[in-house]
Amino acid sequence: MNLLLLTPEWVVLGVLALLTFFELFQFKDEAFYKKVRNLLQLGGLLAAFAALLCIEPKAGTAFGGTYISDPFAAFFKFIFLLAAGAVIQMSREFFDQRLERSHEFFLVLWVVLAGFFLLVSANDFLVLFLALETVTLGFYILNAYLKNDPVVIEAGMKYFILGSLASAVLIFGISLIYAAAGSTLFPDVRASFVNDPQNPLLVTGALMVLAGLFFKAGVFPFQLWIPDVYEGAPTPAAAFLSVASKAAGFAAILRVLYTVFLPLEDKRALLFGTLALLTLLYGALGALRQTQIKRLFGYSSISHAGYLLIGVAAGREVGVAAILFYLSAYALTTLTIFLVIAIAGRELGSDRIDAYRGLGRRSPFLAGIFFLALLSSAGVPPLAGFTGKFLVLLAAVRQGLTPLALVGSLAVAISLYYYLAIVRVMYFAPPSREEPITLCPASKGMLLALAAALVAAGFFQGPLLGAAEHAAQYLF
Amino acid sequence: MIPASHYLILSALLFCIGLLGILIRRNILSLLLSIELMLNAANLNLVAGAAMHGQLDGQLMAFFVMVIAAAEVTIGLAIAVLLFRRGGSLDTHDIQQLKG
Amino acid sequence: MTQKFLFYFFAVLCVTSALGVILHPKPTRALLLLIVTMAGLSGLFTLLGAYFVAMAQLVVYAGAVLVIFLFVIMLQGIAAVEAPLHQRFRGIYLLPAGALSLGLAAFFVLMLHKMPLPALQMPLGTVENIGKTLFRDYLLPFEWASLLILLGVFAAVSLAKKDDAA
Repeated sequence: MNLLLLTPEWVVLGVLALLTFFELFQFKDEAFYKKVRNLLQLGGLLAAFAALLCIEPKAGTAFGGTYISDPFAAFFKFIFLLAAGAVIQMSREFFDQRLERSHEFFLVLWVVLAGFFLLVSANDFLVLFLALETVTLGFYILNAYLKNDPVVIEAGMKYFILGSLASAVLIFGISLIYAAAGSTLFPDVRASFVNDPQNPLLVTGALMVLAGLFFKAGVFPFQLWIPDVYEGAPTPAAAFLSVASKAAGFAAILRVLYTVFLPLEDKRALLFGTLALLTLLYGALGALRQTQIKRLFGYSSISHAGYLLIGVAAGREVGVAAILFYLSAYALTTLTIFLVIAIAGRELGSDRIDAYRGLGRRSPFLAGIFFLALLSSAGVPPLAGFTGKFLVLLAAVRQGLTPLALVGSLAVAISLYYYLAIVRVMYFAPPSREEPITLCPASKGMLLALAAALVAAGFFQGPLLGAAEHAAQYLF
Repeated sequence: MIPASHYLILSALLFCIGLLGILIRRNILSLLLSIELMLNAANLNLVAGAAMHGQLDGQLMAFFVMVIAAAEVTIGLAIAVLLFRRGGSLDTHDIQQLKG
Repeated sequence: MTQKFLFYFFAVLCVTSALGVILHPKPTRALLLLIVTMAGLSGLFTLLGAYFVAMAQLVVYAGAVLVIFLFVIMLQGIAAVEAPLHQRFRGIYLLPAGALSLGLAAFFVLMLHKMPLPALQMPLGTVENIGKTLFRDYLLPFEWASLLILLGVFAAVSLAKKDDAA
């Protein structure tokens, strides 16, 4: 057994153990506590990054084949690590002037990160389910964390009910697969499925597993929770949900689709093409009449899921590589946007779009970064978001799904409309107050780095695309 | 001997009853109970699957489902208590501020 | 013959009490009915040779988890009677909800009742056999399950605990 393959997980769990241990001392000095916590978390992120770099080129399995480490999983782990870093900074900004205790929020964040790591490395349905539950249960807590705010609790309740329903459907699907195949290991299930592709137990089980994963990824018709939860949940939780949960959902969908549910291959384009169309239109049209900025990005994230589904419908190495690139670009863009929302939400005291009036004059830096991220999210060249959309639509055209690609391009035009509405409010509406907004250096640095990455990934796609193509190969 | 399909049919019935419960109940506690029903249906499938294949794996998986159900109940109850402290109502229709 | 009788007895017990769980307007009564369902399931597990799972179902699931559930409901006094079914939703909603569940149930019954499935054998789910498999083949899930329990603790500490500061 090769326990070293799990080094990134060990590091994350180690940081969690240290942070939890550290709680025991109950420091009276809150500033000192925060300083130690920040150092610990920064060190943990760097250590996990180093561990990932060492593990990345190796491919292998551990724990009797239930855990798999390959560049495909490692690619996603880099995304999760990036998301965790940005979300930790976001949480510091978010809890800065609030009275609520933030201690457990950070602890749960690390548990969720460990769950994400295991999720993309699962090679067994039971491990997949356990990892998914770690993530989901963690998000139940994060989404309901501000317990004195009725809106937050409502969001937490909605996510809880729909999330546990999705988990129940998923485990029932897994139990059907187990009853038919006699094993939950991915290779074994694949062997049974290929032997007997018409087995109704396996087909029903596969569809129920996919339905459970669609919930995490926010795919139509399992997307209903997204706008409410994004609006109500604490901003860092919403950001983590929108970047990492979506990435993990698509990682799991791709993994089971290509390593287990091979007999579904001939229906894949039809199934995912239809879902892509509906998800895309729901997200794009729903976003048009929103007045609350987090809700708007809830709808926008649904429409991003639509583009990712186009990639799944296109399929093969090209489609998967396009999805990986898209997800990285989406992670950079969305994290920038939510970091701005976390800071602006605290300074402006509201998440309504009206409250952003005159942000361009109060903080040209914040507004400029936000403008850039919005353009990338809409898919304006030469930013990273554009390259991602271009690759996905190109893959669709190559696989003969031109109508789907056309709808995708149409949705870009719609999204440009609602993003530019925000820009108009920021730059052309008179501000309600004049005093400038000052940023802490850590946030400023992180925003600059994210924005630079957005531009760089747009201009020089080579390295990222190369990594995505390399990772995609390991799925086949 | 009882055929295996009887067990699977029974478990499917329990699952559908749980699903119906989710659709027709509005109290968050009752919703939690319906979810428990669905998880138990999965457990029955797993144990029956273990008997069909003559292995123990399905029985072990049933344990993990129990652990997850227990953790889910804890968190669900915590959220229910929060809701109750806020407004006193656990009815999902009374809790509708997020819309649009 | 006894097996057949026991199976149908437990099956009917499970289905009727499960229907009670979703139809009874009082959450506390519904919870007690769920404990009956669990007891029936535990009987079925015994018939399938899963002795340890059957015990755990009774002692841990029905005995501990659901009783704690009941405790919290009673202590916090959060059990509210739900409105009767016909006032809860508009009829137009109940129709597709019922059709969906019934349709799914019919689909499963039609799919399963003619399916050729292997005959049941009885793997002996005794403590010894279960323990050996658990710590040999299921080490990773077993250890990982502790994280889920930890999350339950975090939820209790961060959500359910009353603020002393505020």
